[in-house]
Amino acid sequence: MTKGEKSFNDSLAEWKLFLYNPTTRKFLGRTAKSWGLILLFYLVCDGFLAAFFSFTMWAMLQTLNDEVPKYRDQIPGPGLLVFPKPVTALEYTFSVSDPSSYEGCIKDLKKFLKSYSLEEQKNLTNCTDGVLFEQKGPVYVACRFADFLLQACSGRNDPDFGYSQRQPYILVEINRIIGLNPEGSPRIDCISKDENTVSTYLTHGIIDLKYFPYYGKKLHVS
Amino acid sequence: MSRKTLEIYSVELDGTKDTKQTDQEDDKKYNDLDLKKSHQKEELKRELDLDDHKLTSEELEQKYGTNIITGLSSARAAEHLARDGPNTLSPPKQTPEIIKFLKQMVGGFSILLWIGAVLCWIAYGIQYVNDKSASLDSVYLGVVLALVVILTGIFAYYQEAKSTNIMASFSKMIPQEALVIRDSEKKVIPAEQLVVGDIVEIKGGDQIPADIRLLSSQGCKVDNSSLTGESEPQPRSAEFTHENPLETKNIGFYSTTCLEGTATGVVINTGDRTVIGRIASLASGVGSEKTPIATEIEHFVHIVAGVAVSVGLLFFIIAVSLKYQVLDSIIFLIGIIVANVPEGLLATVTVTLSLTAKRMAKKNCLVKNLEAVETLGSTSIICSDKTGTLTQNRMAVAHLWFDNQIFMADTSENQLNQAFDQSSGTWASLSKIIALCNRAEFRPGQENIPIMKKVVVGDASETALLKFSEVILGDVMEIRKRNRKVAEIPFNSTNKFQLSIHETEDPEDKHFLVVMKGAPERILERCSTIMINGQEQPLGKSNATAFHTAYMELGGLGERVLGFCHLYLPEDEFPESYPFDVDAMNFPTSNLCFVGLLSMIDPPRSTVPDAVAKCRSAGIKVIMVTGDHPITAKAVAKSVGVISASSETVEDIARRCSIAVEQVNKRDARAAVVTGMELKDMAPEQLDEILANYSEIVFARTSPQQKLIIVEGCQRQDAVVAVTGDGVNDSPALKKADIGIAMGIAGSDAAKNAADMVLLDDNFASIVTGVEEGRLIFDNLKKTIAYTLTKNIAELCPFLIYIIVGLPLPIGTITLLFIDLGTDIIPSIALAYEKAESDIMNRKPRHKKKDRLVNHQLAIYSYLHIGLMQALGAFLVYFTVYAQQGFWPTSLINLRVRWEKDELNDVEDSYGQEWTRYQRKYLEWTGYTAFFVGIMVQQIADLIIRKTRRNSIFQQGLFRNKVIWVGIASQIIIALILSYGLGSVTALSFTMLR
Repeated sequence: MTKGEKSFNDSLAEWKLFLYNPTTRKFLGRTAKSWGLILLFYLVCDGFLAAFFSFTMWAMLQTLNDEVPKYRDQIPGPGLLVFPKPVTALEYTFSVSDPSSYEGCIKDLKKFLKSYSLEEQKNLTNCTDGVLFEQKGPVYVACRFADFLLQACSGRNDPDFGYSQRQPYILVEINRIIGLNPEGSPRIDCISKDENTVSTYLTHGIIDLKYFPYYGKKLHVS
Repeated sequence: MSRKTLEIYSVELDGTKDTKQTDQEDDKKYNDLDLKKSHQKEELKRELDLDDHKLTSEELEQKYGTNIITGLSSARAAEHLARDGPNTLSPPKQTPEIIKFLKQMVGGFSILLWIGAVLCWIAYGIQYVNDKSASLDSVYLGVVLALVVILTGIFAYYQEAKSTNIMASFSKMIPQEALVIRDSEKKVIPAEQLVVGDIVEIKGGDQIPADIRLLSSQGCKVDNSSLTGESEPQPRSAEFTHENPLETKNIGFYSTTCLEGTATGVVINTGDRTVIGRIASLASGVGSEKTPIATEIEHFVHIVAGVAVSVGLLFFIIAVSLKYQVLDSIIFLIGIIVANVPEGLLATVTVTLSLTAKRMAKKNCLVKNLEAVETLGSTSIICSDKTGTLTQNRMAVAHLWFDNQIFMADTSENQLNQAFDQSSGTWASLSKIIALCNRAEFRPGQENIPIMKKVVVGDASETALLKFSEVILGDVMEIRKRNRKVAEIPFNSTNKFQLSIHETEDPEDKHFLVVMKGAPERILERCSTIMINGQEQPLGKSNATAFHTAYMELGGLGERVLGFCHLYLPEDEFPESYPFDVDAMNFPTSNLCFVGLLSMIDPPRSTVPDAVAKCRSAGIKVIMVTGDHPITAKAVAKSVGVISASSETVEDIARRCSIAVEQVNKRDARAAVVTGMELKDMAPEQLDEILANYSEIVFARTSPQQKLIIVEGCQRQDAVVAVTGDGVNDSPALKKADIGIAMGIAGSDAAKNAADMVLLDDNFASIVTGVEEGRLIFDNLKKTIAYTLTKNIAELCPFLIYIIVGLPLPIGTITLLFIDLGTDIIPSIALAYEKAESDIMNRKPRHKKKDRLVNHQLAIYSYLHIGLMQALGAFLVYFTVYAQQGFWPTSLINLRVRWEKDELNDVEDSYGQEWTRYQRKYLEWTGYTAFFVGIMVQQIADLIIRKTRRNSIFQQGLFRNKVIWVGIASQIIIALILSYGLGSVTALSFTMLR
C-alpha cells in the first residue's frame, strides 16, 4: 500500500517537474526560448500554408463565371418537387375526418402558392405560349405563372385543397435548371397505382415552353 | 555453487529414485510435474546427478533389475514400458491452429476495425428499426471493414504458418530400430519400445537408441556433434573416466551416432528423460524473445490506435454536444477511426519484410522468422562460433619450419598462392615425406574437381597434408605409386608417430626410405641429425634450441605442429627382399634425420577479417565463443580481427611489462580471453563487468551450454544479441538470443529449427550482409510508415470539418479504404526497394529502447507538416468540384443538414438551380472521387519526398529505384479504374471525373 502511494507521489512529482522544471527553467519540456521558436515556426509555416491555400482558392474562384456554373453535367434533367412536402419519403397519410392530420399539408400548399398569386406576379412578363422564351439580356425577365392556371388545385375555390373530400391535391413543381431547353412539349404524367383516376391540371400535364430556359439566379428574377 | 552455475543443462536424473517409485507415486509425480511446469527451466538447470557411469556392472544390474547376459524379461520390459512410456520425445504442446488464426484476427488494428464494423451494423440495425428504408451504406461499410480484417488476418496467418516446428527435427533423429537382448535372445525391436534396463548392442553407423551406459566396447567411437556441436569422433569404452557424465567415456547419448566399432550397453534413460530429451524440452521451454521489430510495431500500433480512439471519442463528444444524433455521431466515430488506422500498413510491413527475406536468401541467409530480418539490423552483439563460421572448418598447412626458418603457407580457400622458397634441398626431402607418410587418399572419380573441393578419405590433418602436397607437387597418388610402400605403422596415441617405408622412385637406387611424422618432440627424440639446406648435419645443441624456439612459436599461434624426419636405410643391411615386420619393428626407428616442422590450423575464412572489421565500424561487438583451447582461440581471434592487432589482453600486458597478471590495471586491456573454467566460477555481475568493459572478448573452452549464460549476460546489457550455433546443445541459446543463426551445412536440424535464420554457407560474412539488409529495412520501414501516416490527416480532416463546419461529406469511409488498401499499397512496398542512403554500416546499431521506429519527430512531420498540406490540397480539389458545379465554398457551410435530407428535392445552389436528392448524392460522390484523386496525386509527391531522409533526392537518384515508378504507375492505374471503371457500383461511391 505504502509502496503504491509512494510511486503515485513519485509520478506526481515527475509530472510537476515536467510541467515546470525550475532548474532548467523548462515548461512542458521546453524552455521559453524553445517555445517561442517553435511557436514562431508554426506561425510562419501555418501562416504561409493558410495564405497559400487562400490564394489558390481565390485563383480557383476567379475561373468561375458568376452567372452560369462552369459545368452542368451533374443535373442533366430537372428534378420534380412535390407539395405538400411529405414527412417521410413520398407517402402521405391523413384521415379525412380529422382536419388536424392534413392541416400541415394545407399550410404547406398555401405557403407555396403564395408567391404564385396574381398580386405577386403582376410585375412579371406575359410570354408567348408554345415557344421557348429566349432572352438576350442584359435584363432577364420571368414569365408569369399565376395560380389560376392550376384551376381546381389553386385552392381558390377549395381552401381544403380537396383533402376533406378524399381528393387531395398535390402540386408538382419542376426544378430550375440553367439553360434547360426542352424539345417538344415537356409534360408530367401522373398515374394512379390503383383504379382511382388522377386528374391533372395544366392540360395533360404539359408545361408550356415559355417557362424555359432559366438563366440563373443572378440574372433571372423569379 | 560453482558447478551448479556451470551445468545449466543439468538434469534431474536419479536412477535410484526411479526404481523405488511405485505406481501410486508415479501418479503423484505427474501431478507434481504439472505444478512444477513453471519451474521447469530452473529444474533443468540443476546439477546432472547421473551416477550410473560410476557404478559397476553388478550395481547396474541390481539398480535396473536386469541381467547383463540375458537382458530383461519381456514381462519386465512391458512393465517398464507401461511405467515410463515409449522411448520417444514428446512433442511440445501446440497452440491449436484455430487459436493462432484467431489471434491474427484480433491483433494490431484488427480489434479497432472489428469494433468499427460492429458499430456499423448496430447503427444500421437501429436505423432499420426506425425506418425500413434506411440506406445500406453502413452495412456496406461494416462488410468492407470486416473483409479488410479477415483478409489481412489470413495473410498474416499464412506468413506465420510458414514458421517451422521445433520438435519436428527431434523426432526425425530417432533411430528406428534397436538390437536388444531380452529373454536371453537378441531381438530387433522398434527403438521406441526400449525401456530402462534393456541391454542393447550398437555398431558403427547406428544411432544410439537411448542414453546407455556402456558395458563393453570394441573400438567404439561416437560422434557427439548433435549434442555438443563438436564433430571430433570420441572413443567410447566401458571405463569410468570422468566425474561429469557428459565427459565420461562410458556413456553413450541418445541420438548421437556410433561411427565405428561395436559396443554393448544398458539403457539408463529413455525418451524425454534422456539428455537430449531434456535439452529438447528446454529449447521449447525457453521463450523466444519478442523481436525488436515486433516491439516497434506494437509501439506504433499503440500510438496510432491511441490517436484514433482519442480523436474519435473527442469528436464523438463534440458531435453529441453539437446536437447531432447519437447514431450519426457513431458513424462519425467510425469514420474517424477508419481514417486514422492505416489498414494496409501491417500487410505492407509483412510484404516488405518478406521481400528483404528473399533478397537475403539470395545472399545465403535463409530467414525463417520474418521479423528476424530487422532484428539482425539492430544487432549490437554477435556471439559467433569459431569452427566453420569464422574458420573454414578444415585443417590447412599454415607454417613450415626448415633450414632454421619459418615459412608461411597460403591458407586461403584455394591455397594456390604458395609463395615460400621451394628451392632448398630440405624442402625436396620434406615434401617427399609429406606426400609419402600419409594414409589419406582422394576418393576416385574426381579428376575434374579443384583440389580443394575433392573428397578425401582420411582424417583432418592428413587431408590437409595431402591437399597441400597435391597443390605443390602435383599428382601425389602418382608419386606414391612410384615410391611403393612396403611397410607402415599407423599413428597411435602411445607412439605418437606414424611411419612408413618406401622403395625409392629411382629404379637403380635400391635403398629403402623410412619416413616418419608425429608429435615434434617425439620425432626429435628419434633423430640424431638434422637437414639444413639439403645437407645432413649432426643435431647439435644450437639446432635443438632453434627447433624448440620454432616449435614454441608455432604452438603459440595455436597451431597443431607436426615434426617430419626420414632415413635412407643402408642397402647392404636391408636388401630388396628384406621382410619388414611392423610388429617386430625389425628396422631402425631412431637416429633418423630431422627434416622440418609443419603446423596446421583451421584457417579463417578469407572474407571474415573484412566482415569483422565491417561489424566493428558498424558498432557491433563480435564475441567469439568456442570450445577450443584458449591459445588457438586467441590466435584465430587475432587473425580474423575479433581481437584487433593493437589490443592486448591483461595477460599480454603482464607479459610485456614482465609483471604479475594481478598487477595489471584491467582498464588498460581492451581484449579478454575468458575460459569456460573461469566462466563457471563467475557470478553474473562479474560476467556483466567483463561484457561491459572489454570491447573484444573471446570465450574459449566453453561448453556449448555456457553460450546461454553468455547470451543472457549480453541481454542484460540491453544489447540485441545474435548467436550462431550448430549443435543440438546450442538450440536453447539460439532460441534465447534475439536472433539465432544456425549453420546450414554443419548445423543440426534442431539448431536450424530453433534458429530464426539459417546461414546456407556457414559464413560469418553472410551475417554482415544480413546486418546491412536489416538496417536498410528499418530505414525503409520508417519511410513507409511516414508515407502511410501522412495521408491520415488528409483522411481525418474531412470528418472533422464535416462535423464542425457542416460541409457535405468530402470523402466517404469506403473511399478512404480504397486509398489505404488500394492506391497506397504498392508505392509503400516500393519504398522497401530503396537503396541505402549513406553508408549504413558506419553508424552504431540502433538502441532498442531509444531509437524507435516511430518517434515524435516522424509523427509531427507526417501529421502536422506534410499531412496538413495534403489536407489543404485535397480540400482545394473538393471545393473546386463543388464550385464548378454551382455550389460556391461559402454556400457549402452548414449545408450538411439540408444536403442530407432525403425528402428535400430542391436544394438551391449559388446559381439558383435546384438539386434533387439523387443529384446531390451523385455530386457528393464526385466530391469523394475528387478528394480521393487529390490525396492520391499528393501521395505521389509524398512518395518522392519519402525516398530520402538524409540525402537530397538528387544524391539518391530519382530513377535508381525503378519500383517506385511502378508504384506510381499502379497508383494512377488503380485510381483510373476506380473512378472510371467502377463508377457504377453503388457501394463503392466512385464517379467519373472529367
